[in-house]
Amino acid sequence: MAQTSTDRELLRRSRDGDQDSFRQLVEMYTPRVYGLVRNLVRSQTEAEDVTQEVFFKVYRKLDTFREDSAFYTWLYRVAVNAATDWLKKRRQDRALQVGDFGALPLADGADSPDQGLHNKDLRAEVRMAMGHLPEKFRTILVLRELEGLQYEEISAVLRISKGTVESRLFRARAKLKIELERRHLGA
Amino acid sequence: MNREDFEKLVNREIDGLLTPEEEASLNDYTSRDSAAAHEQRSLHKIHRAFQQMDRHETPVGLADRIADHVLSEPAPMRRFSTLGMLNKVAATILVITVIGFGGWWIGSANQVAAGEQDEVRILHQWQENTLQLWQDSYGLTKSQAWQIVEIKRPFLFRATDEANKLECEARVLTKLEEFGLLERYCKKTGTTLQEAGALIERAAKTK
Repeated sequence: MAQTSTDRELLRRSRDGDQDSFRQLVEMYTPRVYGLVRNLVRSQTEAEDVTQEVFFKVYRKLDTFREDSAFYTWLYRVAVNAATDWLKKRRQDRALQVGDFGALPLADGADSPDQGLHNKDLRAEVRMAMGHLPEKFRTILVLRELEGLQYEEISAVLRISKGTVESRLFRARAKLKIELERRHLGA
Repeated sequence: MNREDFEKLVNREIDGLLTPEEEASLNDYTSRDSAAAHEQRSLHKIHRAFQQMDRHETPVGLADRIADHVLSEPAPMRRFSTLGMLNKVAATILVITVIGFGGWWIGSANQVAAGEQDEVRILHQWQENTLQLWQDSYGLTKSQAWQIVEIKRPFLFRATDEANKLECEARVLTKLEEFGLLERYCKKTGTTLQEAGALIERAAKTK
C-alpha cells in the first residue's frame, strides 16, 4: 500500500475544513479499518464503535499528521491503539472466549469436500486459538497474516524495529502452534 | 544450524523472504531432522489457514454513519485557523523573493521584467486561490471573499512575523463579524468565540 496523490489531496482539503473530502477518506478507508479492528475486538458492534472512534481521533488530529509517513500507516496505528485501549477498558484481553473469534469468515476454496471440511476445521481452530493469545501476538499476526502488511509497514504501525517485528512474529506463530497443539489438534 | 536459526528461517520462508542460500540451508536441516520437517509443515499449514480466511464484510452504511457522526462534531481546534493559508503565503513570499533576488543579481533588465511578471502571476494566483477558498470553505460571497483578500494582501510580505499573523487574523475576524459569519467560521475552525472576541478587541485597539 502506498500513499496516493488522492490521499494527499483529500487530507489537504480536509485540513482546510472541506467536510466532503473527509467524508471521502472515511468511505475509502472504513472497510480496511473495520476489517482490522474486527479481528482485534470481540464483536461486530464493538468493532463498529471502535472504527468510529478511530475516525473521530483522525479528524481531531488531522493537523498533527506529518506526511513523512503514509496515511494508511498512521490510520492503522490509530486503529490498533484504539482497539488496544478498548480491550483494556473492557478488560477483555484475558477474558476473550473461544467463540469470540468464531465470526471470522471462511473461504470455501477446497478441492474436495473432505479437504474442505479439514480446512474449515483448521481455520476454525486457528481463529479460536487466536483468542487465547496475548494481545501483542494477536495484533502482529492480524497485521501480517490477515492484513498482509510487510515487516516495514508493521514496524511503522507498531513503532517497533524491524528486528522486533521479525522476532515477535516468530514467537506469535510458535505460541499459536502450541495453542493449537494444546487443543489436541496436532496442527 | 541451531534451533533458533531454524525457527528464524522457517518464519522467513513463510513470509517469502528466504535467500537461495538460506533455502538450501533450511532444506538441508529438515532433511536430517524429521521433527523439524514436521514443525515446518505445521507452521505452513497454519499460514495457509490464515490465507483462506476472507476479510470481514463491512456493515452496510457504516462509512456513512461514521462520517455523519464525526462531521456533526465541532471542527477540531486549530491554533490559528488561517495558519495553513499563511504557510502558503510564506511559500509564495519565498518564491517572489528568490525571483526578485535572482533578477537583481543577474542585473538583466529583461530578467527583472520576467521576475516581475512572475510576481504578478504568483500574486494573481494567490488571490484566486484565496478567493475560492473563502467562498468554498466558509460560504462567503465573492464580494465578501474579496474583502478578506484585501485585508490579507498587505500582510503577504510580513506573514512570517507572529505579531503580524495575529494582527491579520484579528482583522479577518473583525470583517467576518461584520458579515455576521463569525459564529459559523468559529464553529468550522474550532476557534472559540472567546478567542475570536479577544482578537477582535485587540484589532480595535490597534486601529
